[in-house]
Amino acid sequence: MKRLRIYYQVFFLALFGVLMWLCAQGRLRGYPVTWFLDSSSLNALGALVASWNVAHWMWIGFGMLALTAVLGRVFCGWVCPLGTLLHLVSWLAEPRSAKERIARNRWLSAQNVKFLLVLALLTAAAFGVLQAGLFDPIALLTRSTAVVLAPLLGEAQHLITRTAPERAFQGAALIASVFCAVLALNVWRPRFWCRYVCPLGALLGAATRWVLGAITRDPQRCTNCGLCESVCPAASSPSTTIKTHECFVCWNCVARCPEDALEWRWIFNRHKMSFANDTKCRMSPPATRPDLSRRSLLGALAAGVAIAAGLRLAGTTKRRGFSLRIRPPGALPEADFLERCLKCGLCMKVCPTNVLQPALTEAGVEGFMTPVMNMQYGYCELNCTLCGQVCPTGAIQRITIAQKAGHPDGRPIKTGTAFFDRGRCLPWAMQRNCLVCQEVCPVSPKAIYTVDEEVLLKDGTRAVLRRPHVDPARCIGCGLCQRECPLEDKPAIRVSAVGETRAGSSFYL
Amino acid sequence: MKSERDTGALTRRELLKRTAGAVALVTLAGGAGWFFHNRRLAPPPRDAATIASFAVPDTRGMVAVARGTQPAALVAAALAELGGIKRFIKPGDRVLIKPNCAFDRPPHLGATTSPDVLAEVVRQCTAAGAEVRVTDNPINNAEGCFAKTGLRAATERAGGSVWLPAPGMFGAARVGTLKIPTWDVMLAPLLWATKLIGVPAAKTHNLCHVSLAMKNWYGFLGHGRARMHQAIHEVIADLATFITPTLVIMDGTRLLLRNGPTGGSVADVAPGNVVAAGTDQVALDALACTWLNVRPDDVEFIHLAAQLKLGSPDWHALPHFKEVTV
Amino acid sequence: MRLARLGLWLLPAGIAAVVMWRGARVDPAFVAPPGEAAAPSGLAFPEAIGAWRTTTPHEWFPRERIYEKIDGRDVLFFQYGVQSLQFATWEGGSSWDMYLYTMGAPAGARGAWLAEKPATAQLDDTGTAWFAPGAAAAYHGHYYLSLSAAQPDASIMDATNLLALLCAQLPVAAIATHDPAALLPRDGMRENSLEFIPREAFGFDTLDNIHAAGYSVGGHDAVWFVAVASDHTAAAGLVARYAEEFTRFGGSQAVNHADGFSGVMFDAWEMIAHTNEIVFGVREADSYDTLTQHWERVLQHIQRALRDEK
Repeated sequence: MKRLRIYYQVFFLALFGVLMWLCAQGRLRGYPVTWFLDSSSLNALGALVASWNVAHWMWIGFGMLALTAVLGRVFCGWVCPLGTLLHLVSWLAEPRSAKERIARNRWLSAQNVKFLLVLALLTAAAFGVLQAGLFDPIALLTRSTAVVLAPLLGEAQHLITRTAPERAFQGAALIASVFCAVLALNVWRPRFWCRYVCPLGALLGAATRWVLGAITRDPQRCTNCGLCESVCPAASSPSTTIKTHECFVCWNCVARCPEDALEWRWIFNRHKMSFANDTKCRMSPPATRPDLSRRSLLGALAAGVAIAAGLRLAGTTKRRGFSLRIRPPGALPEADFLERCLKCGLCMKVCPTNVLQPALTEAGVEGFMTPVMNMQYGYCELNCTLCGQVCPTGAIQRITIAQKAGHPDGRPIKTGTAFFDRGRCLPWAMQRNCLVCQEVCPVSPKAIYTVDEEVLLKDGTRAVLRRPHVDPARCIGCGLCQRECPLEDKPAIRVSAVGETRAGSSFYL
Repeated sequence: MKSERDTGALTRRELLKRTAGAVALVTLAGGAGWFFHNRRLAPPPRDAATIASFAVPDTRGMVAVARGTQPAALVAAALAELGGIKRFIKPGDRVLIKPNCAFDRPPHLGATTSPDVLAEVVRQCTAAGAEVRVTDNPINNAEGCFAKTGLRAATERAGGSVWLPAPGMFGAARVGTLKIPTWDVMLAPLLWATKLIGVPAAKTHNLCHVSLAMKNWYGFLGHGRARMHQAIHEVIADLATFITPTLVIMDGTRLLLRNGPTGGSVADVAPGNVVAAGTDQVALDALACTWLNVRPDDVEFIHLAAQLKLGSPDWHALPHFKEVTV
Repeated sequence: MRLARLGLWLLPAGIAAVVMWRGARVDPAFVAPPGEAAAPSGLAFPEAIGAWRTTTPHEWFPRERIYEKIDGRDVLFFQYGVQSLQFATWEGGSSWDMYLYTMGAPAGARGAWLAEKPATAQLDDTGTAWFAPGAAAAYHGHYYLSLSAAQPDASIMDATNLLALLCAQLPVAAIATHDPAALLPRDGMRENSLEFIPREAFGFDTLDNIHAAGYSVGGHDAVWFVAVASDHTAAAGLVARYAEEFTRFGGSQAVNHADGFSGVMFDAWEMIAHTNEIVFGVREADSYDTLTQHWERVLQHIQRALRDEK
């Protein structure tokens, strides 16, 4: 079974990699690139509690929760790709001596922190502030892959074949640091994240309260040698009473035990054991509840409320001055958006023009790492709705291209409006004709029109300048003009979020 | 059966408890996943209320003009030419009256409806057996406006009551077809009323030439109406689609000829000595333009409203057009 | 248990299979750009005419979107009042792109035809079509039809043939108004001097939609020009405004004649008059005698043309 488990881990990690690779324009087709994010019960429950909705495939997360209720944290040991990655790093970094390994795998009360964390996150979610995605392991891995690993691979490919498009993301250094830290900490303690931090693991662990089967130790066979501890990645103390809320069901201990004292058993099978002539079974029932004091639980609840209140009090969803918070087309109004966005980064990965970026300050603290369009990196392709297709929670709706273009009622989806900076725009400020913006404006009829004006140049001759203007009724805020403006240091035409159709109240006539 | 406690194994009761717990958790998780699946994928769009027409049947195309110096008498005469208030208001009706109370200016500056005119309208309606409420949503403080303009005193003197705007009274409604399909409006009074009478003051307006019957409904709009300035004519035409009143009584006793809509100086005001009443707000607007020395042809929103068939600007040609001197 | 074990080993393969299966499904609503609205007002051409056929649907562009096809060239056509463009590619041995412009008025159609005509082009017998290597064009009523070959060395016979066939498809102009170009005689016209000036001809604000050509009489050159106004009064008004502008700009020896006006500006003699709705004139004559000689000819021609039309 240990071999089976390794096979599953390899399979799911490979599948994760393949699905991330498929999450690109031209490759996506109908592939279910969201399934890993959907399988996270934390994402499913968090989004449900925040938005009262289970979108698209997120029911898989509830299925995983049901599975865990019966079998234990098999997700952590067999499926979770981050877990597999950390398991690999831990294995590579483990010390030689069994004594050292036993010491590192000792259960610590710090492992209870993750339960408090998940409680705080879910409490905040209940108040509509969904920050669970920042700590969800799948979302973390997806975000890191999209923002750090895939671009790195692209750079490597570019060095060799000079063909891969370059991708860049703001905040990549931050995400890379966090990811490296998560990997590096395994050198100190194996599967550090899984043991001490992972709120998904905590949720699944809490769900093992009435687990119907677990790895159990036969005290009669056990010689207390402690070798099982030396290979347990979950620090679930198999040599005493195994903690099902920590155990990953990875089968390491069962495989290692020289006395065959450990075995996975259904709780019903207590009479089916036979030990030589002794029909008595001294199997100790597993411990299934984390030992948390009421005080710490209440503290976590209060923290959750505080997080929610604190973030909402910043007034992110109601404030003015949101010009850089340009959301992708199909995004829901801001309050509903923040109730659903997992900050997973799938939309950023699939976006063909690299315009979707993780927000740093554009959307406030609450919107940290949520997707915003930053025209310094790209523009929104006219006939593309890929971001909506890959969003697991529906924070970005699955709009059709016809809906985005405004067929049939003639009202296209606008993500903002472009404004000319007449102090920089060449025909306005430098008496030179240009009009690149009008040429590239993709809508039909164009949203940029010109008014001819005759001016006196400094050498005394007259010239006709074609001065461009934005027609706000037609501009959809795609940012092609901003991207193509020859003044690359600070474009003379810039898109601002006002006029976006998703927020009925921020429109103007 | 021998007690199993000393084997350390699970008792049957514990077994049952566990199984029940597991089953419950599985059902809960599965049930939640199934029940909430795509239940609220996108938040539901706000339902916009539709305000029904307040017009009384068989009263289309009626306008009556009364000239004289006594405001109350003018109102009474104009109404009489239309067949009397009883033709429009029945006992038990809930009548909402919308005067122009937009600015906190005293009545002699001509920026708001004359209190004498309003008092007479309210009196007529209460005499007809209706419950009368008067409302408006000014830019400035509503309490102050109703006091300074004398409209609160006039209303209460005549047996009506003032309904001041409050945040909870607003909601989304369908407005028009040209520029604003829906907007936040003062919904509660509109849903309460069975009859609606507009009593605008005749004023010129800096932006849209004149502020008369159709523009009067602006006072029902909620937040964000500053943006309307960008397409003011289409918006006013939309307002005429939004509201079809029972009656409009155009207060021409004082005319604000310059610096409208707020005016501010007596020099801007001239005595008009005229009141018009009718059911065609487009005709009344066109007629009132002539009082203000504005050509109806120059006023775009009158054209737009006429195109939308909300009324006819040719008041002469209406089926029921009467003029009387008091 | 063995079965369960086997099932567990096979489960990943099953998951992979489901993933592949889902990947095969593509919802076109999310991929394809929305279908172009059916061309509302293009002319309906048959798929095959003679030996020529189109293989792709015709494209149609209204005035506001004409840049999508002829970005940069659209400015020229706006000057002549273009309303829409219909495009198709005809195959039949050689391949020709057809640009069919619907102009606001026949004068605009001719104007565009003249504007696009290269200097080396040959005219056909009717004078309404020109041919050049790899290009050909004709005007017919409100329509201006131009052909552009895929290969620059395409046969001119093909061009002639295709152009004739396509023009035959164009609806005949309903009302025959005065054809301004017919009012300018072919004989005596200087080569390549026929031009159409849409606005402010010769610097006069009042002169729009002018056809002009150079002529030589008695060894002296002058320019004849004609325009067709909407009616008699408009023509008279045009002449009057011309006179007023002339005086304002410093013309001298201004003389009003019956229905006409003459004078000299910058040493060039000019004269303008109108008959019914036709406005005609002579300019750039080097002396009064030259002016009168040309004027007699112009008058004769105009009167004959009007008589013939009746």
